[in-house]
Amino acid sequence: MNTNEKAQEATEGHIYHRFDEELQALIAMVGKMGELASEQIRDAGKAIKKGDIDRARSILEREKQIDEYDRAIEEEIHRILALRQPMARDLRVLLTVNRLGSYVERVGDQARRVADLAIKLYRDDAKPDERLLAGIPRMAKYVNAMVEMAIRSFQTMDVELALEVIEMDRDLNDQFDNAVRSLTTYVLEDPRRVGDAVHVVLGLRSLDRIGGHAKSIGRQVIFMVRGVSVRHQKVEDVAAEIRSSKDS
Amino acid sequence: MSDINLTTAANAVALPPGMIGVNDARAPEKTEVPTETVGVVTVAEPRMSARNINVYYGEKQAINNVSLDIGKNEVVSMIGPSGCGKSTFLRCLNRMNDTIDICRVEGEIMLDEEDIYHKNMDVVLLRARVGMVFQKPNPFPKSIYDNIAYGPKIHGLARSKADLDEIVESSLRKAGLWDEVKDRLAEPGTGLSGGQQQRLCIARTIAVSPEVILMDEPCSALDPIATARVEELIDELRQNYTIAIVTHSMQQAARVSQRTAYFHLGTLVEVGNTDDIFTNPRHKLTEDYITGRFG
Repeated sequence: MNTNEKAQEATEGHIYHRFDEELQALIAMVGKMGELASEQIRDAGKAIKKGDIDRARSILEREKQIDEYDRAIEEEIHRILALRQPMARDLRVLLTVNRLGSYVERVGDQARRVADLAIKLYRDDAKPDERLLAGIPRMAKYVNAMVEMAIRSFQTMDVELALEVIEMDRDLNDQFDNAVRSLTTYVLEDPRRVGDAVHVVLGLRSLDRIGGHAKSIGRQVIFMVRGVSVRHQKVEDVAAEIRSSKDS
Repeated sequence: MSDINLTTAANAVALPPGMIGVNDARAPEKTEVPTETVGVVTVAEPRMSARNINVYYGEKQAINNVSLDIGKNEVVSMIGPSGCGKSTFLRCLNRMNDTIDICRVEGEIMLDEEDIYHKNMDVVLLRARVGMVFQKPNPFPKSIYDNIAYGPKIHGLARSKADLDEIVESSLRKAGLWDEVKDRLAEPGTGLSGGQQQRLCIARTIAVSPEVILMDEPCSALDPIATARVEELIDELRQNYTIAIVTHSMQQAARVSQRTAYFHLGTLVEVGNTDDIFTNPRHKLTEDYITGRFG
């Protein structure tokens, strides 16, 4: 059995076949929206690294598409809730898609802020010091991996992968702290650049938030698969519970 | 409406493998009927306890080793596809199956501390203690007043006309029907609307002071407004009675009951808190049924 057949088997089975198609369409939309958001983060990192203002402007343009996906997903969820009155896993899938739409839309917002930063720092052909920006491309790459993994964990209903994303957030926090520390040293050496440094901190903060949204997606995926909310639980407790249930 | 085409979006991305928790240890996967009920069949304060119930219609086994408690002041709903045995099980609880010649019931059903299948059990009295409301409203071809007064009269629950009047009024009040019929108690019960007739039947059941009320699809012949009134009534009655309800409407089960039992091919597959059953059932058969995958 190939993976497509497996996916079909898992999504089909409703007496109302149209309901299968509706759920599949929603899941596909979240995938497309996630791809778009991921592209935004990737481009934001590149725009900062290469001083590519055109790339940064294209991020601002594409953000409208993410918003449009968010709106379309919300509309479709309202329609399905009213018409199908889903229960159990169907309901959890819908609730999850609803939240994921919001999380991914916020990821898009934060990527736009990083793009704004690129436009601000490279205006008038300015060439900011590499040390000032060093943290951003690295963190952008990391949070992009988190978002991609989070979306994939949703698509494959993989709680282990979702848990991995949640655990990555700790490392991301360390990266953020290190980047801010480096910037502090940089500013102490050259206080005239404090204005740019503040902007860069805000960019780092945006990336940190993207990681937070990826983490929230991971938590939501665990809820969808297991039917138990882990939103306000410690990572260690969630990990222990999931891994112990695997072993038993 | 959004410009994004849902169908196109669906076709654009290959669907992921392993959809719906197939890689999770707790996800329901088994499709065979379990040998033991999933979930806890007992409650802390049972009003009725059924243990190892097997029911046969001639050679054919309709109920297969079902055990279930029905707690005090709770509503238990029984759901499942047609022919799964839920109504048969319900009828065991007040020995309605005794009226079917070829029906044989094995096992033990206790009402408080009494075995309802004991040879000394007075079945007429049992059916007053464990009343029943049926799918179609079945008022007697008598006045509204007499529909209610009949039971208390034959069970000797009223010593005087004043007692009887009191029972009729309080039963109609509890059934939420008093204000609608108080000025026409002498009119035939059959002249009421379907929803009113069903509430009249509920009032008639209440009039003999039952401990348990069994309801077999009590709203299937009613419109949504009448259904809502009966469901609201069920919620109010729970304060004083124990209720077991068979329903084909999962939304109704979700709305009115605290615990839900899912039957399949004569077996009690799963029982649990209604909230859990409808959001996170543990057995795949339950999940398939409530998500509309049963086929």
